[in-house]
Amino acid sequence: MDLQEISLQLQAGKVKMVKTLVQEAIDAGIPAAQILEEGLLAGMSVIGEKFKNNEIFVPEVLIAARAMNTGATLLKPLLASEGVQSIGKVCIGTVQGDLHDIGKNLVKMMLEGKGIEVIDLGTDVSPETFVQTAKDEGCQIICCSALLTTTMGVMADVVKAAEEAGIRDQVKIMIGGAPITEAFCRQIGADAYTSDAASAADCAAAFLQ
Amino acid sequence: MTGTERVRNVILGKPVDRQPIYGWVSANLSEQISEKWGSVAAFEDAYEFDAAHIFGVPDTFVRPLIEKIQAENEEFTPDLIVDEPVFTDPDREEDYDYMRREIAFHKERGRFCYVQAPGFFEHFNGIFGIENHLLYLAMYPDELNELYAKQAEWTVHFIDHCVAAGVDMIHFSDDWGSQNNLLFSPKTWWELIYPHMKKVVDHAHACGVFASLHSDGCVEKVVDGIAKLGLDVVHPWQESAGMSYDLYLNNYADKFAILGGVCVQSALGILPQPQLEAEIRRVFGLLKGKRWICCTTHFVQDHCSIEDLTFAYDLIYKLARE
Repeated sequence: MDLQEISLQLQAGKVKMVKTLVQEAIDAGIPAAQILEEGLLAGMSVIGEKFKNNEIFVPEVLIAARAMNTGATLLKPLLASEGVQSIGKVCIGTVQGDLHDIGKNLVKMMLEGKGIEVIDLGTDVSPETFVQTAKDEGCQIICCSALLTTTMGVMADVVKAAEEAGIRDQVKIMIGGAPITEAFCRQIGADAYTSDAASAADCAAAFLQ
Repeated sequence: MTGTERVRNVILGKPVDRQPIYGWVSANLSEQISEKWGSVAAFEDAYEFDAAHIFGVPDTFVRPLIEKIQAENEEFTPDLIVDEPVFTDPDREEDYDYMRREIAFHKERGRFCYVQAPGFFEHFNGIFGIENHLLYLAMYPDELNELYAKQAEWTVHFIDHCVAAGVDMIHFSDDWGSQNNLLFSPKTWWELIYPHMKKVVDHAHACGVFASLHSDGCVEKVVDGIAKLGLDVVHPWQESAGMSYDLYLNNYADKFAILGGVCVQSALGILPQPQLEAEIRRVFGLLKGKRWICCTTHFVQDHCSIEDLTFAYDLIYKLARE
């Protein structure tokens, strides 16, 4: 069976077709890790690259991610039984005082499309929650999102909280969102700023290598 | 010149005695402004604002019906409401009382009055959620097209009431941009947004009023379409999201006016006063004398101090008259 077809159908956002093809691949005895890698993640990788290059837009990413999640749900128990590990673990959230989550959700989708395990803390997340989750779950990366100029300052508190908790040298802190800049990232001592979701996933994958 | 005459002339590219001034100063800073100035209205009077942005649009959706359908379904999708009577009656006279009072108040001050009308994408975000709505643009284009058409029909009636109340401009609020690109493809915009926007913009013009657009973010890929719609004013033309003033001045200054220039994402409430002054002077240097109504790019954010706000408007007041 050609796993590239799964990738192509995912890129087209064909949820039902992806589900059918993934099930067929499972039934054909193809290892779940191979279906994930060559089918779903390969498709999301193309989506991420096209999104980064402004060739496609948010709706196309969302529908592809929905297709990926449908396929991934079928693979999840098999991946666990095959002992397949994710390439790393990230906790992500929109910072305290900010309820906007579309940017955060796009980054989450792109991270998952790289085979990274993501703990989604939702919106309005306190610095303490980011840091405690990273400690408890062994996350290598904390991703913070903010849309508002009024809330971006909380990102500095996350960096400070990580320092105070003694885990700053164990986690990378990535930030993003409409008002965020590279200069702001340097100013607060975060590790990376990325301007779009696909670049964030590339950056996280690079940190985890 | 009254504010109305000044703004009208700027929109039409005619001479004015000074650059018109406005700002979205209420919402977040109303309390601080009232403490210093007595009221937001007093602040607007002190700086001789030339325009007034009037909210208070009647609710477009029949909320109980929407809530019932939401409660009955695991996912609230466009196909569930496309054949349902989800739009309110736009012809209830009493729903326009607030707008009429606001217009009367500002017209006493000679101001140019514009009324906020619901945009197509932004408005349905309120019931679907923006992320779901974006997904549905890809999954349910036909159903959304029908729903947008119904909203356009509602808006035509709404415009008639606004015109009867004496507004100068209908302001369609529809956020299409993200920080560096459109939220959805230009193809989607042309197919699903443009036809309905065209209908309501044309109707506003047929009624003898101007039409304007608010869209945050980078909308560069559909600016030709915005011009083709015949919109008279675009707010905010967000430079901090990649909408360069050069692009406007070189390609679109003969098509529409812009309302904006004082960026709340990168300048006002962000920069120290010396840099804020330099930024405001830079914008005046680029746009003064052009088809430009000086205004904030959005609501002034609550981290902006009253001192910075006053500093900015003292300078704007002065530069507009120099």
